[in-house]
Order: sequence, then structure tokens, then C-alpha cells
Amino acid sequence: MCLIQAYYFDWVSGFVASVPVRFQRWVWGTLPAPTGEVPLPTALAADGASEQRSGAKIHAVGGSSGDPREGTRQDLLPWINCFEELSMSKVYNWQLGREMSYPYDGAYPKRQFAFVFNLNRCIGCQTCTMACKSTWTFSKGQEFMWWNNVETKPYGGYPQWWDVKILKLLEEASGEPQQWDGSQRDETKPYGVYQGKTIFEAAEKHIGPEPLRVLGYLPTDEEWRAPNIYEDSSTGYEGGKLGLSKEGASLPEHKTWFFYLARICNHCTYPGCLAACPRQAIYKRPEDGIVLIDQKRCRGYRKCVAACPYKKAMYRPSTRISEKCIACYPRIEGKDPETGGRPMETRCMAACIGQIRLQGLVTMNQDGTWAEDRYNPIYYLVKVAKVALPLYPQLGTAPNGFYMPPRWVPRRYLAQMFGPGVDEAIAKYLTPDRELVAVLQLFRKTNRIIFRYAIEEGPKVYETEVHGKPFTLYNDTIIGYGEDGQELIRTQVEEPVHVRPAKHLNSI
Amino acid sequence: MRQKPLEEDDPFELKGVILPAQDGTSLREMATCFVEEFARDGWSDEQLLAMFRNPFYRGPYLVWRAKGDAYVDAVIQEVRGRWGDSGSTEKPLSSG
Repeated sequence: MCLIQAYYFDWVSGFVASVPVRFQRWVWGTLPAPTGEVPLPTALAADGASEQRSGAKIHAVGGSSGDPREGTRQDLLPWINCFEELSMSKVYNWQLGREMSYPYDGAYPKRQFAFVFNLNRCIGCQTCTMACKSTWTFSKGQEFMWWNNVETKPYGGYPQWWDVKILKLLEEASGEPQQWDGSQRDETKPYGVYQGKTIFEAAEKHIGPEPLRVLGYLPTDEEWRAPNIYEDSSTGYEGGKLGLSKEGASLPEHKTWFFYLARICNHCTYPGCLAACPRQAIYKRPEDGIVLIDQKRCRGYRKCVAACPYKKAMYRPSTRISEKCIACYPRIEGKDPETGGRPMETRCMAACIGQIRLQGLVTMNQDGTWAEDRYNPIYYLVKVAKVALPLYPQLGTAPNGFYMPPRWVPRRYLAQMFGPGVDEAIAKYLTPDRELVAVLQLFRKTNRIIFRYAIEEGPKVYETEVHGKPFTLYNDTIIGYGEDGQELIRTQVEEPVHVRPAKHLNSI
Repeated sequence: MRQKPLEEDDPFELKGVILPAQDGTSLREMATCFVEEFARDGWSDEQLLAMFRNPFYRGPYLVWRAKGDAYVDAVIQEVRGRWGDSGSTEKPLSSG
């Protein structure tokens, strides 16, 4: 296997594109002689540049000797085989507890945008969804674009069936179920070691007419049509004047379990969207790990839409380029005048009615793992208390969104969605220790980003038994500090509730 | 948007996914969880019941629609018994 950098020159437009395509090296005598044509990379094919029309020449560097060669595809046929198999770099994914394949070498930001959502608290009010919509996606061509959405699991999804489809594709492509080895669990491998294939490793095995860097699929227009299809929209009625029902329409009422899954872009450590982009238009910011699409470079090939397993890269038909959640980066940079230059949480976080959300920036090591930062609330919840787990870690993108799993849901379903840490996370959450009770108070107490917390011990309030275990409540005080060490918030476990008088109920 | 009827032989039709089922205990556990979360934030019984009755809070509302006032109230009292009167010390904001 070798890496070949191929350059394409379009004789009509004069456009030169450097497309990093990895070929399988042709070795005489060991592989069958190539038949048929070497296809153009999808990037150029989608661009409307076909060899016949433009007379594109391929300049390829590589092969057994590393020599450059130039010519038409027909000239190079004896030299290269086809685009069947890719060679990828090896990167370390701490969520999988092992190295994995990725189309690029590992490159890590200084700090990483990360968040924790407590699904036990989400009541599905969609306030986060509308906060995002009214800030970023209210324009023409963005009607079906919801960078933040809340979907009713296991029934709803945006786009519809996104997780069922990618899990099914992954299982078919890898030919094996997604298994974890829990026996190797330790501090560096909090969930054990993933035994199955990721979306990148499944793509390595792909055999087809064109290369695949990431296993994925392109959802249909119908699947994108609502942020929580069939759950927040009535179903099934056809006919009647103006399509309205005389009896009225009703929303489904589930007789068994369900929960609300709030989702935004996970700003993954190994983004599928970034890996798939043929234009290298997607990048991860070195200062905070936010994944952005360069709107000038993007040409709307929708490879990112197909490759993002969480389906958080979206195509905008009015501009013919793709867009995605930008993590409200002006707020993260402290550009909002309200904060006086201090980092501020995103719109969706700040708007959360149920107080399920906490967002922060974690410090990264050079190898892509998290640097120890014991009193950063996000670090504490994910790495120390281990009550917050990544969403579908088996996909392999190392998402930076973490969830406290809803405790009433069947464990097998949760284990598929959040990995093998579910039982421990729920047990810890059901009977929280003194520190966890205090840290949970930080959720939505300020819209500034908390970089460090401290706890001042308070008096014992009472002892009781919760879920079969002894529990003692202390009225501790928890203090959140900002980037500059200044105190942002001070609150107590037993915080008094202030009720606004009736005549000022709607005062701001 | 209208939905086309299911065609069994359509290879692209996703026919169904097997889900682990649970009996009514999961609904009660969910209701209990919501009550616990917000009771520990200092919400009163009336505020909790109002959340369950509010159609814009869909999770609690679905429980209330399915089970009614008495059920929700029983859950609230059960949680109060378990956690004590945690955090329900209300005091009005001083005017001005």
C-alpha cells in the first residue's frame, strides 16, 4: 500500500485541484491485471469535469519507486490498480481504548469544546432548538436545517432513522456485531476496548467503484423534513380540504419508555465530515477544537453530509454549499459584549429551560487524550465521576458531547447508545456522592464558561436512604471560576427559591 | 407531508427495529425522575404539577395525559418522602 498524491488539471477551466487520493499500489504478478477504467475522484466528477469533456490529465506521484508520472488515466492504468482500498493513519481514540484508522494523522487542539447533557432532566421543550434556529438558521434555504434538535428516542430522529441506519450499515460492513472488551477497563480506557470496527475501519474494507474514507449515507430530503418527525408533528392524515382533518390531529402518546435526546454537532476529535471532504474545506480550530466548514472552499459535494454519522453537517440548497453548527464561536471567543471578553456558553446551552446543559473547554494532551484538570466540571463529570458518556462511541469519531443516560430506559438500549459505561454512570447518578451533588448545581447557573470549581463544605442537612443506599445531604457551597480565575458563580446545594411577585411576573 | 403506504417489497423501506420492551414501571420511573430532578431544585408540589399539566413540556405532559393528577401527585409525595423537604424553602423576592 502507498499514498499517491494526484493532481488534476482541467484544460477547459484551467482549474488545478490537488486531491489526496490513496491508491493501492499495483504490483505486477501479485494482483490480476486491471480491467476497465480508473474512475475520476467523485470531487471532480461531481464538479462536472469529466475526462472526455475537459481532457483531464492525471499527474500521480507514488508507485513502488515513488516516481511521478503524468498522463491520461489509460496511460496510468498499468501502473495503478484502482481506488478500491485506502491506506489510513493510525490515531489513538481514548473512548475506544485503542488505536484506530483515520484518513489523516492526529492533530489536536490546545483546548476542546465539550459539553455534558443530563438526559434525566430533559423535558423536550425544544427551547434550545429555537434558540439556535433564531440565531443561525433563520434564512432562506435553511428552512429544514436544525443544528440543534431534540428527538424522542427511540421513536424520532433527525434526520429520520439516522442512528438505526448508520448502526445497520456498520454492522453489515464490518460483518460483526459491535462488541466491547470490558476486562481491560482502567483509567486510560474508561469503557474498556472496542472490538468492532469504526466507520473509518469499515470504509477501509470497502470494495466498490470509488474509494471510501468514511462509511456513511446521504439521507433523503424526506428524512430531513422535521427536527423530531412524527413526535412533534401529527401523522398519517391524508385528504380533506386544505389537508386538514375535521376531527383534529393528535400527537403520539407512548405507552412504554421514551426519552428526549438533545443533539448538536459533537465537534469530534476525529470528525467524519472533515475526513470525507474532498476539498479539505473542513477544519478543526487549534484553539478550541471547534469544527467549521470554510464557506469559501466548500463546493457542496455533500461528502460531509454523508460521512457525519450524527448527521450534523447539512446542505443548503440556496447557496449550494454545506453548513453546520459553529458552536456559537463568537461567544466562545468572548466577543459577546455582555461578558466583557470572557468565554460564554452557546445559545442552546444558555437557553435550556430544564437546566440539563453544561458546556466547557477541556485541556488537551498532544496525543489527543484529555489533560488532567481535576476541578474542571466537564473533566470531573466525564473522567472522574464517569456519569457522562459519549454518544455512540463505537462509531469512532471521538465525539465531545457527553450524556448522563436516562435511568428508566432498558440498559441494553442505553449500552448500545452510550457504550459499556452505562451501568456505572446510572448507579453513580442514582445515589450521588457529596461532590457530584455539588457539581450538579453548576448546570445553568451562569452563561459564562466555568473553567474550575471549588467546594466549601457546609452543614449536614439530613440523612436518608435513596434507592437502597445511604445518602447524606450537605448544604455545601460550590463556586465556579472563569478562565481568568475570577469568581463567576457561587451557589449552594440547598439554594433558596425566590418567587417573583405576581405583579412583576413577566418583568425582565 | 404525506406518507406513502408501506410496500413490503421495497428494498429501501425500513420495516422496523426491535426494541427491548418494559412494562409500565418505566413510565413511573421516568415520572419519578422528573419529580426528583425538579424537587431537588426546590420546586413546590404545585409547580411540579403545573409542569406535568403543561403541554409544552412534552415529557411530563405525556405522563400526566396517560395517568392523570392522582398518579402524578402520588409520585410527588413518594419522592418527598424519600428525599425529605429538600430545597423547598421559598421566600419572595424583595420588591424594588
